[in-house]
Amino acid sequence: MKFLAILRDSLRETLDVKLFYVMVGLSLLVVLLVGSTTYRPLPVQKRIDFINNLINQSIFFQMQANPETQQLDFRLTTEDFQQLGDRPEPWLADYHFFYVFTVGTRGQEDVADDKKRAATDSIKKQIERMLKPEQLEKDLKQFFTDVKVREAPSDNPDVIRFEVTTSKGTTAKSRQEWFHEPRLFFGLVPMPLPLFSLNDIIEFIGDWVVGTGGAAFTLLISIIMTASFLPNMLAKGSVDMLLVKPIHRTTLFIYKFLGGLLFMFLNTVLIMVGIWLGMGIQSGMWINAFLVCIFVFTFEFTMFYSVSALVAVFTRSAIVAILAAMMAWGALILLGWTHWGFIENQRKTAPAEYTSHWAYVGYDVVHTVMPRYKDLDWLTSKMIKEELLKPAPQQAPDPNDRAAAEAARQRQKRLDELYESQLKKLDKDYGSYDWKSSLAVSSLFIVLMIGLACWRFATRDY
Amino acid sequence: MSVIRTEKLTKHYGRIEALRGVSLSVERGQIFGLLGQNGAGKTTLVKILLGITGLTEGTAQLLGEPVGATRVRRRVGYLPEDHRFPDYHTGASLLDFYGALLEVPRVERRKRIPEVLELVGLKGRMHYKIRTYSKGMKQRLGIAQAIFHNPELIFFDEPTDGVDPVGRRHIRDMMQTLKREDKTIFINSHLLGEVELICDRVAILQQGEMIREGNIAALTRQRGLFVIGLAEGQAFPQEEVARHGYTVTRNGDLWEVALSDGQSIDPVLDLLRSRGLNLRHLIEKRQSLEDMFVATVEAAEPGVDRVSRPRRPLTPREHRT
Repeated sequence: MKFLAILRDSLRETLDVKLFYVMVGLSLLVVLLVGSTTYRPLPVQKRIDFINNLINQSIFFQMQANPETQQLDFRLTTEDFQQLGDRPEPWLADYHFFYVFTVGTRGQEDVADDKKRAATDSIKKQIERMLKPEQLEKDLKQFFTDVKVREAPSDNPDVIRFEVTTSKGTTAKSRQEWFHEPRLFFGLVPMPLPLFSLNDIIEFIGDWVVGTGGAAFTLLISIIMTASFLPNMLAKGSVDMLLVKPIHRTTLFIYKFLGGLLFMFLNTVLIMVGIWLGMGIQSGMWINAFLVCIFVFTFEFTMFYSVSALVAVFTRSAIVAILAAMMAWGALILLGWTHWGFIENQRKTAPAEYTSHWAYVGYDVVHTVMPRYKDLDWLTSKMIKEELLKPAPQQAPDPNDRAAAEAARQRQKRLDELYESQLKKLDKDYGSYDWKSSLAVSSLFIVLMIGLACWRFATRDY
Repeated sequence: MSVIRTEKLTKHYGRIEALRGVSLSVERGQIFGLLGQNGAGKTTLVKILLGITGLTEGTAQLLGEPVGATRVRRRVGYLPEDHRFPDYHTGASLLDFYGALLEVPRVERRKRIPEVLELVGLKGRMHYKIRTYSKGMKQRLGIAQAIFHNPELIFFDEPTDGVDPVGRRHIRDMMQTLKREDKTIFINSHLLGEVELICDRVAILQQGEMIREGNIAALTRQRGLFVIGLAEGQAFPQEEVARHGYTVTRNGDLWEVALSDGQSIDPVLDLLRSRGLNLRHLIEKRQSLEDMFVATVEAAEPGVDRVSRPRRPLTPREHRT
């Protein structure tokens, strides 16, 4: 009954703070933004045209840099793009189109220098010789599973046309591998980014928008909001009323602390479940690591809230408590990054005299005994990425088609190998940080902070 | 059995001695007033009794239990001086919160909240935020929370602070009602007129020491000063009374006769009777509590009107010497 009474009191105090509504509003806005973002599969033609444009621009700038190719006009385009059949998934459909290479010259007649003109013509001929159906077929097989290319007639001598027919879809075999165009507010506001697969987009949102920016913002607001809970309780004239009640001081302190923590937990549940649901519904990708983030973020907040609580017991000042928590936050971020840069990143590659230096060993020890905020942050990112890297279930091939079954088996093998290599790369990127030691050391820190705060609160004369 | 008992209670704040060997006993059903100048140690004594502050030496018991025991706090109410309620509460929600901490069942709380707030005249504002209350209303809410759980012993630190005269009378009446219900009330107050009106017994703290204690009637009695009045037209034999060694002063139609040590008023009365004079007024003069307080404090340390000065506790070597 007492615990619930104190929780209700904390809730009442929270609801009285205007900042709470700002925070809930912002949380809902983030949920709305993420939840209303739709992911439209990019049509294959749009994807190819996008790549063609990139190539055209790149070649244009390269040719402009060379005097002998300044008069060359080289462009890639597609014509008569048609989908064969009516498969709704663009990455599984087959296509027929013409790949058109324009290899012309501009203002060649104005060039006075015969040598230069001859050089330009020579390069033009070299390019035309390189444009063979076999080469294009090889290039296009990076994109399509099977493709047939043959030279098509052209009326213009500067234009080389190839007829392309694809079969067995693209090399992407699942939605998450295919390129998508994200659109905000249920498709109202397009974000023209045909560069990324659905996997990449979700990883960006999960890692940067949610895991880094969102978590930091939520942490910051929560520290500010909850910092006044304990100083208000400990204020002169207020604490007396509570201390005369039949409740042990340590219990009172812990209950009040848990009240602040519960607030952060509920807000994190709101935002993370909202994002998980919204993203899952819109993209079909249910990233369960987002739900684990609820506990990780609350745990990280507990580290700083315990510092804030300890300082509050000693100073009874919300401002000092906020500053102390912020300083602890900054210090732990700095410790994490510097440890990564100077210690962890060098561990396997640096010479022995570097890794055995007292400064290296000393800093490693400091990192070992300090709470691991940044490590937990990285481990969370790693966890999200690991989940996203998992290959999507493949479409079962026709059991009567032995060739298709074999192709699917080969593909699954390739995907598994890719997954393994990506996991190894992740392990390398994220160093030797691990959940067990990070949680254990950080928990000890929290226990120490709360223990000191309880001791001070229980023994102090008010 | 004493409701409050302290024996040689001492409290040091570093080098400052806030209380020095205070021994005190308050019986059930009494209204007890603790008087003293600013910094005399009154609030420290109350805080020690309530377990808010620890004691340095001596013993203190509340309702037969050592002070600080959690279970005894259910039976005690407290209105601190300069209290600050969380202003995000309403009057009703504050009582509900404190009631829950005091383990008052929910049903009982729902019943008691309007009753108690009506008793202190706040029922009409019970659902308003405390930040909208005036100082007097907050004081009345403070009293309400102190008596909400029907405690046996109630500590009031400056209970009428900020309350208007009508409200003060209301609070005094309420305390008398509580006394009739066999509650024990412990009051810290500077308003000696109020204390005189309601307290049975008082004690005076001066620089952490208990310098006087007793019931109001005994403490305010002025020994050796009588006021005498005779029938109309009769002359008081001033010179003859003065020849017997008494000091006589006229005060309007009355005469004040001061007795020296060992003297009695009886010879004066015999003299008046022998002269055939008719006595119409005879009273042993009393002083107000305020007069008594000032006189006591001045006598304890003449000319002092300042906060307690710090005293360094004696070292073991100084004790020996």
